[in-house]
Amino acid sequence: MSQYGFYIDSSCCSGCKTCQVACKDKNDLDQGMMWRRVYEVSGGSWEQRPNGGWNPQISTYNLSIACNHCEDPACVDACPTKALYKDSEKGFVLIDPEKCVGCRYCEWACPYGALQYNEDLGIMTKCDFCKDYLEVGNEPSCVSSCPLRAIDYGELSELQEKYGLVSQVHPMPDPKLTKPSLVIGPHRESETAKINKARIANLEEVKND
Amino acid sequence: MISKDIPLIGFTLFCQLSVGTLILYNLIIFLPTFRNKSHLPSHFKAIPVLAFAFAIIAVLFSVFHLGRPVKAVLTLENMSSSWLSREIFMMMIYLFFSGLFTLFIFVMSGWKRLMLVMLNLATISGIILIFFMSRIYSSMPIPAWQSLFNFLNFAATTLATGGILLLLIQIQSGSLSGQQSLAWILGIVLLLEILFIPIFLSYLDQNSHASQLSLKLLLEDYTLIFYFRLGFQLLSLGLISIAIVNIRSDTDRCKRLLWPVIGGTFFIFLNEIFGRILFYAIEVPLGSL
Amino acid sequence: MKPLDRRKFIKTSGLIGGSVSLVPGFAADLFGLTPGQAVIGDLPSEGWIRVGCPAHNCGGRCLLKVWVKDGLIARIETDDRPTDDLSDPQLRACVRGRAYRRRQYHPDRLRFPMKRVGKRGEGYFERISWTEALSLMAKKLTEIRNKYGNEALYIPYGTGSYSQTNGRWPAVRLLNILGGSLKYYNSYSWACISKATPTVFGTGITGNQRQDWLNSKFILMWGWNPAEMRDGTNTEYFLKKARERGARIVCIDPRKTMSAVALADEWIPIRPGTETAMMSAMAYVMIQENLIDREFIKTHCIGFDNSQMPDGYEEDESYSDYILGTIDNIPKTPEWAEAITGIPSETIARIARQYGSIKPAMLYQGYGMQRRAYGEQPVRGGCVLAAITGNIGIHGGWASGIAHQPGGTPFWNIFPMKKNPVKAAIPTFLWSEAVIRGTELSAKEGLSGVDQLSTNIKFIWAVASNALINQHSNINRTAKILEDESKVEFLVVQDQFLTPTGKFADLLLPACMQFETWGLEDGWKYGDEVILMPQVVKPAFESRSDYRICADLAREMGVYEEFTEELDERGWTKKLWNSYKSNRFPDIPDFEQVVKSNQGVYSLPVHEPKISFENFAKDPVKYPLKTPSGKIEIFSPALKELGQADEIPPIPKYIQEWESPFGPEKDRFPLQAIGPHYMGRVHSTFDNVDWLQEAFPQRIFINPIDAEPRGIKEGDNVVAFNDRGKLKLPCRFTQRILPGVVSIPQGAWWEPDKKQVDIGGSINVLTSEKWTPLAFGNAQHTIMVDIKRVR
Repeated sequence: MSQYGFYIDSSCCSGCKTCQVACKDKNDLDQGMMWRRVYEVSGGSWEQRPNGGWNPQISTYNLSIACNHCEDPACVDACPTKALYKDSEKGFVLIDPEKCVGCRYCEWACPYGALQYNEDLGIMTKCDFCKDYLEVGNEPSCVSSCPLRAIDYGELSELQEKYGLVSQVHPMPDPKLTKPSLVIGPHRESETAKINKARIANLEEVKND
Repeated sequence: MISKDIPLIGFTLFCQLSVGTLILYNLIIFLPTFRNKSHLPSHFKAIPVLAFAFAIIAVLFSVFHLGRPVKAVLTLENMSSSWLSREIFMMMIYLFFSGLFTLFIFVMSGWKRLMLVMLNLATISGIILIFFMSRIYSSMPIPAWQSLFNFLNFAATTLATGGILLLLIQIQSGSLSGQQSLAWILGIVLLLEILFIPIFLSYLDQNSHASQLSLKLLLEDYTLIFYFRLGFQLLSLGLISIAIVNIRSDTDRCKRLLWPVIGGTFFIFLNEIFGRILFYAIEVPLGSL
Repeated sequence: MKPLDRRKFIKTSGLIGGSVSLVPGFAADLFGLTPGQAVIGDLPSEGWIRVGCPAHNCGGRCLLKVWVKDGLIARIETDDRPTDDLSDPQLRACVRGRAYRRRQYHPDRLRFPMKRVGKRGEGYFERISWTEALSLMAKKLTEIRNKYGNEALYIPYGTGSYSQTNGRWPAVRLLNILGGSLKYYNSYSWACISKATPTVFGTGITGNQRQDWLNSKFILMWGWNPAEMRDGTNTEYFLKKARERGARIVCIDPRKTMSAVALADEWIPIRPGTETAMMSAMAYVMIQENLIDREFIKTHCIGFDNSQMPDGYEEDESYSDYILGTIDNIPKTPEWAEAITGIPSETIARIARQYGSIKPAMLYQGYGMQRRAYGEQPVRGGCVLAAITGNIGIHGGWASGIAHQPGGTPFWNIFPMKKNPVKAAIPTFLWSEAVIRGTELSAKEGLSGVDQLSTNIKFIWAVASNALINQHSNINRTAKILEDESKVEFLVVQDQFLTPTGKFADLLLPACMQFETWGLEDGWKYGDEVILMPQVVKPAFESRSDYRICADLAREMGVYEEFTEELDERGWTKKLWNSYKSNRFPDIPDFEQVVKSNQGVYSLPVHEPKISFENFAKDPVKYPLKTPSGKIEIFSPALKELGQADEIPPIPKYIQEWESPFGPEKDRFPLQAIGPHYMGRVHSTFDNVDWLQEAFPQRIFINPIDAEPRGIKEGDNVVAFNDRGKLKLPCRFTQRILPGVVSIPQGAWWEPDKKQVDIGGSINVLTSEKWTPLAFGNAQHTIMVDIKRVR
């Protein structure tokens, strides 16, 4: 079985959210639903010198996160109806809308906020990797949308070979939890983020409830 | 978001009330009469009916929690890995045995031994149900839920709500059997609930950044609910202490306890409702700082 | 009779995994379209169509691929040309373009002509027919023209929706046929930089083609934020590539912008309005440490030091005099600058050394710093730094200034507007002065073409313009001016939505979206391409194209043939497209072929980027500049002759702004407020699009250092206020802003509550109508405010 994943280059992500909105357009997602979300991680402090100059100690970077199509997806384990399943061909985590009862337990189970409840249909929805696009040879909408060409996709092992093995930066959860199929090009400031107490600075923009 | 959680608050509380009522009914009322081979007073027959009704109400609440309730039956599909499937399965077992027992009380009251088996099965499935319920939450990547406190919290709610309901019924009906034990159980449970608070808070403070955010939510955003709940706990503990001190084998004296116990019931229920609101409110997933 | 309801979107159903239907059914119902209605000309009635992204004043010109089904745009993707080479990169649309369906199918779209009922500005309208609307407009136009003359007519600055055929151009053409209208010059974007750059270089063409950035080794992004706004499609991508090629990038900005985060190696926070102080201190360090190109200065510049002052100005203060403090006894040391700019002196010195020693280097100025009190100064200051380090006319260098692209800048308008018989022109920012006291204006207020106006402005036709109310300074003042029906006697607003400006209209004309008519667009500031914008769907409701509205009015005024030249929108698009063949792109394919092929764009790959001043740098005698001296004028005799040395010095100087944290006004209003471009908007366009509001909610961004002493908690509602107005918004804490500065992204729609507090969050309730001394430009970023917590 192959396992597909996303690469996000946080080092040059400008947080412009083109990917987020391209995804919303492709999937007709109402306000409140974001299959891809862009988190601004930011924090730090300022120090003023006697002569008036300011020294900032600040870490800031953006993370564009969709579903990480985890190798060990917590949502699939939590789902009582088996509506969530791992696709046997490319390792996508998909949802069968016929089976979903909308209990929303997967929403809690996913540490990345990938599962999104559709109020009107009463079921959960999520990133499907634009598999319909892949079938006809196109890139996922988010990938082809990025003005900075900072999102890539493909076979996880190939992505890892090309871009490295980082799949977690502050403050993302431990990748051991679910084994996300994600490769991150870390921003240099992610090294100091913890010391600078960086947090998700745009929480109101990424929360989906 | 509290509004989104109302069905779950209703479901868990009614489930726990139902199980608590049945467990204590078994221990305090049914088992002694069975041992003494004495006659079960007829007004106690209503208690299992109540417990069963609570379970049914719980189920109704849970239905409102589903986006598509018509497909609820599908939720039993994933027993192998989903604690929710397991919980729903246990819920059905519990409904089956508690329902059967309730039926027996009315139509087969002579078959005491069989009834005890049914009641014991209902009690055991109830306890497992509460355990599974707590596992659903502690298996989530939400540090505020990932501890033993979850189960202790649910167990305390189970005993406190069930216990005070039984005590109220007994005081109200002037029956004396097991009141003392009930009052003691309630007192101990309430005391433990209060004692757990600082331990839980320090757990939140120590565990992770997410749990620290939960702590912040609890103490800053939900301050009022938090302190009101503490007030209700202290008030109900006080009222239960009055009951402990005053319960004697004196029917008249007991009758005078009616108002304190009504008050205790009121405050315990408020305490548990507020506690459950807080439980859902402090859901902060790992990684979302 | 009621104000228009702001109806919520009718909820669309999300489509789940691999569904075939792509059309949100709501839109068909809402827009009264029936399936199959959208067979437009020679384009396929269904399927992907390549079309230029509707053009706004965003600084990008991008290519979309839209899926049309049943007469509706059902999905939007972007440029998918297989090669994405740097010589001709894909023109990928930004977040605004990708959210376009929510603008196109917005329930608030203007549906039919309406006329005002009630007082002007109250926002009450009633529906009228197009016949009535056009005859009313023709009647008023004729009346006012007859009574006051053509100088009374004004088509204001407006960029809400414009391509080469859409927007205000057809309206200008029509009025020109009818005897003309009062002209304007300048813009709200770059008044100072377009005026000040030529004072140094004699031209605005000071940039290089962007492919040349890859040759740079050091890029100073000064107040330049191409990641959050657009300064040319792909500009941020070129910077990413330049950095990958080894350029060190430093961003100087009061905010740690997303450009600082995503494109730069270092961010240096600077106090707004003090750029020239930092520039001067950099010059100080470079002069002291001999990091300047003395040879280049000697051969290419005038006014650097006493040895090269122009004839007749030998006794004047030279640039070196100012920097070293030989006359004013204030050496412009990094320590001097630290107290002003808030930047540690060591940092200033370090950046100066880097800029002075890493070759070649670019100093790229953003335009925000020139929308300030003395916005001319940092422009000239930046140009001078580029000159004295010899970064001019070389690959990888950058002359600074407005930086139009060499070899035929794409930033031009080719729609033939005909000659305007009216000679008079006002600075665009001073239109409100021309309304209240036009006849009193003179050259002192920037009036040009005539000595005096014969009348105040009496008739305004705002096409795609929200600059009357929302984007002009001091909204509360402007609202009072416009409310007075004796001043502007008739106000027509032609737009797609009822904007805050629209609420002041006497007559509202519904313009269609650009997807609903024909158009074309070439690169904005950069980019060698022409993008076709075919009509992909029919105009919704009774809306009409800007061109059609003008043509219909032309018929009413009896000049239909002269106006249309018997061409429709498609005809004009064809004519203009084919005109590129002769004037810019000899190999551009014929229009009909481009339509048929659905290629959407013609682009010319850039393999050898052109650079400005290449010849001048090599031989300044043979190829002199168009300045009076033919050289780079560090000292400008022309500016000296204006005789306002305090505000318009002949050499670039730091001047304390009229509202400043160093002036007495700081006691009442201690915080500087800046209004940066916001990622979800193009000025005020897109403000009403829900997907973008969700992504970028309007907030006041404040440093906790400023918030906490005011008892403000994150997320609290706060009021920002000064003597001109108040606005109320939730606040967002951010470390990404210099303490003492708050950011209120510009462009949110003004929405006054009963107490005139703007709950929409438009910073222009706080801005001042005072103009800059040389360019008569808007100084909207120079304001002081205070902030307090409210319920």
